[in-house]
Amino acid sequence: MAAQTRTRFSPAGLRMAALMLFIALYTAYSAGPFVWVASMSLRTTSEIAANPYALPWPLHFDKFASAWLDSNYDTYFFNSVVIVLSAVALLTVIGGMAAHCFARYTFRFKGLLYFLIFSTIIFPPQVTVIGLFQIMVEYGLYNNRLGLVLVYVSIQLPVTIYILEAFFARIPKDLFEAARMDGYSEWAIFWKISLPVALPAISTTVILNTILLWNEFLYAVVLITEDDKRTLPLGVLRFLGDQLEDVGMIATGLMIAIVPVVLIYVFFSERLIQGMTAGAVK
Amino acid sequence: MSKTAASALKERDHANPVGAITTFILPALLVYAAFTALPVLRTFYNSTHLIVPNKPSEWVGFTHYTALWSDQIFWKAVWNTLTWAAVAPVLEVVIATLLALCLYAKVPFSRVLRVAWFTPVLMSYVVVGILWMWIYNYEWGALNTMLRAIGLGALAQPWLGHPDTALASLIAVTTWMWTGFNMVVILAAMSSLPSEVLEAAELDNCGWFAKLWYVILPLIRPTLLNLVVLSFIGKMKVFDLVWVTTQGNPLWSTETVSTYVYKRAFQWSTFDLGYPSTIAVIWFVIVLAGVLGLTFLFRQKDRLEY
Amino acid sequence: MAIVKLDQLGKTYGKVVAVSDVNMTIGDGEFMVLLGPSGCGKSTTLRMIAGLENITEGELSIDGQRMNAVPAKNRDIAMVFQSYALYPHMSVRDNLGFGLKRRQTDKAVVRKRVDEVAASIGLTEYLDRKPHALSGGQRQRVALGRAIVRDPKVFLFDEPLSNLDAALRVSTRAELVRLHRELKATMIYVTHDQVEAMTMGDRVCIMNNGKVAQIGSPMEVYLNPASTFVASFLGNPPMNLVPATTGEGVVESGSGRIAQNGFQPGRKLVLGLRPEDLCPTDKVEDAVVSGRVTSLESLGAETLVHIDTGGTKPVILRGGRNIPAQLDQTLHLTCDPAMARYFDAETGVAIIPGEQQ
Repeated sequence: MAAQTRTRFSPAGLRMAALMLFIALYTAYSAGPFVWVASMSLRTTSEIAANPYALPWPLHFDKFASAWLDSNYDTYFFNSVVIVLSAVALLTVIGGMAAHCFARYTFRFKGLLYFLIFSTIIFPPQVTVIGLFQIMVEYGLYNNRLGLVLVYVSIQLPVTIYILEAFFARIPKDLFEAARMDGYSEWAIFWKISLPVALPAISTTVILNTILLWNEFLYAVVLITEDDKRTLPLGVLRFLGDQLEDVGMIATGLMIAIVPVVLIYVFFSERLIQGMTAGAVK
Repeated sequence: MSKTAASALKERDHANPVGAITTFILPALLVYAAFTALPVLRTFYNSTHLIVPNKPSEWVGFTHYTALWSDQIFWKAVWNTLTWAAVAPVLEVVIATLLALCLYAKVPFSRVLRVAWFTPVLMSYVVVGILWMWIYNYEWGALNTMLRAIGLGALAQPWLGHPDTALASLIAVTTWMWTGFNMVVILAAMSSLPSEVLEAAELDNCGWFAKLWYVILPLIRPTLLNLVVLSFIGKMKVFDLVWVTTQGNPLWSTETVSTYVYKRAFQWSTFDLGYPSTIAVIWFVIVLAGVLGLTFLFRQKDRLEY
Repeated sequence: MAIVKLDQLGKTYGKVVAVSDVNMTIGDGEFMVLLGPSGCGKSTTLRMIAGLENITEGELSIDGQRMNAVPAKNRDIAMVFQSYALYPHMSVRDNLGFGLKRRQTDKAVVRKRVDEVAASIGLTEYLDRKPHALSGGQRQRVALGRAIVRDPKVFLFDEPLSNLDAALRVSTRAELVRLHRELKATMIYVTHDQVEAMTMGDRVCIMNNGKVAQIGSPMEVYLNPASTFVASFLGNPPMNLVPATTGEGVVESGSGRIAQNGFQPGRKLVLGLRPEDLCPTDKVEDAVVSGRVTSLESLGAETLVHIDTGGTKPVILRGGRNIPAQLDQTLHLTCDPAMARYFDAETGVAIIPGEQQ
């Protein structure tokens, strides 16, 4: 306490000031771009051309309407919603079943299967993307939303199984045995015990998969070329091509892509952070 | 019930019923086989063939591999990607550790700061790419505007347009995206340190720096190394950001292996999927070696220190 | 109600033998306790009866029907787990009704039955709570209720009291005995606590190293242990086991002797003496063992006296509060020959004087 009264030029005070400066600079670097694009999204291109860094006044909310209506944004948005939601639903069921299986049972080749599925996490996507392109053309799933859904399921499957398996494995074995004694089949146990008890982990994977697939670009650009089947990231890029010099309009387009993610983040930040970092914490 | 039927039933494992196991795992296996395993095998097959549309694929042996050996663009792409994968993880983890320490020291508004720092990683690379193209814009971009404002206008330049600065500028973008993510993981690791150890260090009369250097950092070492490996893997895959911003330009200075594969497979009118498959296979081997090497290196060090 | 028969039941994991050659018949309405140290195979045996573990050898039948291949859900058996295994996402009411719902689809019947059982074990006011809002004792009762609701053929208990505090354990013990009387059901109860075994079981099956060591009523196994293992496992402190040699009409313990006919002289055996059967005496010639007092433990109602007789373990005497013994004093102990027990020195199996040899 005594030290605090004479901190003005003491090393502790200097250290605190340096710390604060570092934090302020990093926060500007980290959050500044968002603030900038958010403000530009509410200004017209001529206003931006006059001064790119002025405050957004008056607010041009109508730009969102015209971005939505004048280009195919509604289609892109709809495609993204349908594709991402279908993929996430399938992932939850398929991944949940597989995770339940890995966590609950012992069977032949379990270790090998686990290893095979997980080794794909380090695969560079190039090694799948060309073969995948050929196969999708042959299956008739090229330029097909269902095809993209299935591909999305396959790329997010390992991490989904990883997170869920870790959670299922922590559910006491007794619970499943009690349900078995209570007369339930393995299938019923999965739906009535595993899934409800693992709800926190399920919601973590749902949010994580939603965000990652919402942003997915490489597989979409390889497998989708028709405009009416494009997802939002492809649409944004297309929009960039169309509006090349119309910076204000593009900023509005970017905000439309960002807002859903930010909304999810606002409501589920803890779950989201948990999911994103699940693989990294040791 | 006949005797054999009885013994067959006896063999059945109640705790691990084969039927249920199969039902549970089959959908995942099918998806894995059809959309991961098969494409990978297909790519390996491609790498020794000439694959041209509307013609049967033609076995060319290791022609692609030898051609790749003298493909200067490929080696340039490898060099760029490796640079990225070597520099970015270090930058990210070091800055993230500093940021985590700030929050660990309970600076004010730490919740808000955590949210602000983490947000970039949630953005699509397409959005991020466009945004940073503007920031790096020569005339009105934020970076040059700031340089001019503080009297360093001479340094202003087209950051993504110059071969000397383009790659570094893109590395700054991935650092911007991923540092906050790393920070959250490191902060979680720090917060889960047993408080007894830190208190013991305090009783041993450790200053804050000594505490950091001799207690905290060694204890969160596994997390830090893990993050480095994860970041390394991520950077070896970089595609979206480059594709949106520079497409490998100028003068191949930002070409990555991913973008080169994409160009050779889907953009250049060579119409051959064999050669890009060869690149993918070789790259797969390099990534695998890198990951194994890093894992081995870190494990070796651990053994020496403890 | 049901008769459970275990015929040479065995379990091997790969090459490791967990349980082997278990034979017993548990009568209709009987309370059988499986007792033994941890790792003795008692839980594995119970889980084989439940259908949670495969039976690798022998046969299990319930009411004459072979059960080996019948999955757990079709055996009509209920089990109370050590951890209670309550479904955390369901209310007490749903936990109780979960097993019934699969068999009985009429919701009104399930509801009525759940209410009845909840009332009988005092859970009525907690029916709408989730397990995490209950105390340990209440959770234990829900686990119990879940088994009762189903009215199964056989109840299995896997150390159900070991997570309760001491006072609650005593009252729950009594409650279980009452339940058994009311339900008249066949119950099989696994524990490592000999007090539970002695107070609750109609019969006790003591297991060791995957094998049955002895089956009998609690007093039977206490008074006439079939082996040195049972002798040293039951009782607190357990039976004193003193190496001894037979003479003419006596058995020599090294520090004393006890009159006993029926043995060939010169045979090595183990003499078993319950601490409470020993009594200090002034007459050296009556002493079965004697030695120096090395420690005195006063437990309030009684005193445990440790005596060094020159063997590897001290002999322990359980005496009254006012036992006249002092540290370092030499004490001579006598015992009623009818209460002395004998075991083969090599195999540890109980020997009855006069039989065979």
